[in-house]
Amino acid sequence: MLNLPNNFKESLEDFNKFAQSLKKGAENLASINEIKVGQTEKDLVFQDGKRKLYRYKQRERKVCPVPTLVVYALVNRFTMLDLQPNRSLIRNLLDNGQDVYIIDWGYADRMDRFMTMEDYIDGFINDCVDFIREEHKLEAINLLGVCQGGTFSAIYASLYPQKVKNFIPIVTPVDFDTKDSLLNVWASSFDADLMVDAYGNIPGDMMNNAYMMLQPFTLSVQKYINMVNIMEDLEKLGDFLRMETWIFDSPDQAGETLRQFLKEIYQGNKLVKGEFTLGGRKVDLKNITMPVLNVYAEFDTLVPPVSSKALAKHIGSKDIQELTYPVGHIGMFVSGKTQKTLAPKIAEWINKRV
Amino acid sequence: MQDFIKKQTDWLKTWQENQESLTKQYAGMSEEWTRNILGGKRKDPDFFEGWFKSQGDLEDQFREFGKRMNEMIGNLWSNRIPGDVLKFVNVSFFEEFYKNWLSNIELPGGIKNPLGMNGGMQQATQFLRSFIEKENPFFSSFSSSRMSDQMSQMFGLFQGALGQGGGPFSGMLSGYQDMFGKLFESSTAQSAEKLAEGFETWSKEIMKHLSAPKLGINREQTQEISQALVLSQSYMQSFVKMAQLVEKTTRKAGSRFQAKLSEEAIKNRPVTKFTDFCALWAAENEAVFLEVMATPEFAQTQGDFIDAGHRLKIQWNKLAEKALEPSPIALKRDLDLAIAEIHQLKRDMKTFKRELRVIEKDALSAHDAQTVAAETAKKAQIAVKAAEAAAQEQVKKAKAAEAAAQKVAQKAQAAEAAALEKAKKAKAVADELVKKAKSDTKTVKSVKTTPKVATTTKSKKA
Repeated sequence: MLNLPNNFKESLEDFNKFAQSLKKGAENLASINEIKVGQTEKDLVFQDGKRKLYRYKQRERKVCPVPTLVVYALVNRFTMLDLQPNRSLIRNLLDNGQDVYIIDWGYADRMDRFMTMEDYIDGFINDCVDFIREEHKLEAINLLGVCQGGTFSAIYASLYPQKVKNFIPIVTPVDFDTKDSLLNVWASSFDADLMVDAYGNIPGDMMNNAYMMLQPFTLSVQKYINMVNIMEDLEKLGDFLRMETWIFDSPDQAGETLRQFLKEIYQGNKLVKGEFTLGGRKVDLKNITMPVLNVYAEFDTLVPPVSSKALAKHIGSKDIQELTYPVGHIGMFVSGKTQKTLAPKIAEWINKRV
Repeated sequence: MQDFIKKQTDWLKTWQENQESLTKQYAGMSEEWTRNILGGKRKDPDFFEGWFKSQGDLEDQFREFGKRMNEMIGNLWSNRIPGDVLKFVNVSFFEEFYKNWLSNIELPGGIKNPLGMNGGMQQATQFLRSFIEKENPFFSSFSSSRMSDQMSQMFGLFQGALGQGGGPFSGMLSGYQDMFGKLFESSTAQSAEKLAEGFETWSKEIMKHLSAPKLGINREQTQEISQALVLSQSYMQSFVKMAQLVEKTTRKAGSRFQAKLSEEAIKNRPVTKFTDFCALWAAENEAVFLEVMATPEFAQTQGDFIDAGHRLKIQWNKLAEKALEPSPIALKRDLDLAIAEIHQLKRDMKTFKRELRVIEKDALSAHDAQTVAAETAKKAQIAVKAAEAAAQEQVKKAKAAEAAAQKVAQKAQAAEAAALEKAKKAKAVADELVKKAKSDTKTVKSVKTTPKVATTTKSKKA
């Protein structure tokens, strides 16, 4: 009797294993009750409409006397920084004795259609900084900005350098004149005015699709095939679903803010050209004279390193340090490589400067 | 819910058992096929039927799994996680891979499997198209469900506002929607191009008849509709250009994938595992697409396509507004104006609040200063009073002291006077005594006791 070649049989057997994983995975999916992100305990300390300021509960007895305000991007949610207990920059900062506040921008709706960058930066960020300064009776506090939140923080630190003790931008785009990211290549070829006029607020899923286009097959096919391989492991499946929950928790973008950000910052690159104004005031990055710790990711496809590194060239600070990791944009906050060292390094850097 | 979970678990168990037995059956059929081919025997029609059925059963089985899985996720999770996650955690796209993977497995002697897919792969564009149609996020802007939804909404409003449920105008709108529907469903750039050409002819014809009274639309609306038709043509043309570029890239990616499959087989590393097959497909497609997507040509084509879509949407909004103008319904632009005004008011209020806080702060500081000043004044007053009292006391004391001093002085004077008097008297006595003594001296020579008297006088003076 003639036998079929081994690889044919192996293929079918392998597929049966795959089917088995699917079966077990389906059972696991049914057993998972709720997907929670951002679970580190925190208190609401200040609020202005949808926008909130939280203070995390301290986890160490000895706490840095100068608190740190974390400013996340308007795109997606700040929960990325506290995805789960063993993947949490926030928790790690607390464990390293930092006093951490964070801004929650909330979910923009139709009533936020005309919110501008001035409302976000000169409005809420400034309110939060003043609130914390008053609470702690301090002249200046630490500012940690993430991605677009880092760009907003850089603008804030330029306008109010006296209120910022130390500035820590993480994966923050500053110079947008680069071809290292597809987003930068594409951004120059469409009309931001038309988009905002057509939609008003820009739907969150549109933004998500744009990000997925950066790795279209990896993020839409390969990821879900890989999912089958981890579905049998309940813990890994939970990790996967938490990440998915975060990815698709994408608030709409306030129309006027996105118009301003796309036209002036992305397409016009006005921040590094020294041409950007906010509320009639010129934003001069040279005013950033406080110590700066610039953290960026080597394999970032959203914010290429060259865009973050440019900060050093344009600010007035004499105390600038760079910290880099061989990870991607999101990996900076969730990868095993950064979990153990990123927060301690930030904390150590801050402690030396307070 | 527990029943549902149990039902699903039981079904999954059966499914897996079926999967194994179907795979065995398929392997058995394949073995027989190989034996017959190599033995030069002819295959009877029943065998072919069994062979096709075997493979078809496997496909059906997998399709069923995808369906049930999505149903289960939807039922169990719809209230637990965001809807988008449900959309993306969609295993139905595995079907496509499964079908292609099955067809990729070559039997001995170079015999292709009976699905007749030469090269072990469906036509690359069809595969991608089918993949996109399953509402996967990849290039979801091309599927344009957002455009279709908005179009239906807008036309519904338009017809409602004009009160035309039927008639020629309604027919025109249906024709328009139908053309767009076909465009979004077109599976090749070529068919999209043909549709765009057809649409151009159709819209030119429609524009000629727009002002006909039987359509029941006014001149202004006619102009807006004409504009919408022009923008629609432009959108379709940009859609076609985008489709051509994607199709060209897809063909390139498909060829590269097939070449890679052959290359691996030649190197004696045939890609036979399902997951490896999927991974290779994803990696090769991505490499080719990223190369193209980084070019200025792609950015421009995509930008034109996006801009054309937005222009058309803006015009649709405008049309809907025009149609709704006579009705009492608040228009989008009215709402936008109101929202802008509310926002400005909120902003002003915030500025006032901030200013008020500064004033409050200043007032508080002034108040504090006033309190401190009042406190100081009070303390000063008390101090003054105390000082006054002390001074008075001192004066009193001084006066008393003065009086006492005066008294002492008086006493002293009196004492002095008395002393003087006494001294005078003493002197007088002394003088008297001296006198007497002198007179006595004269007699001393005769009387021996005289010195005693002199001594007594001396001590009285002292």
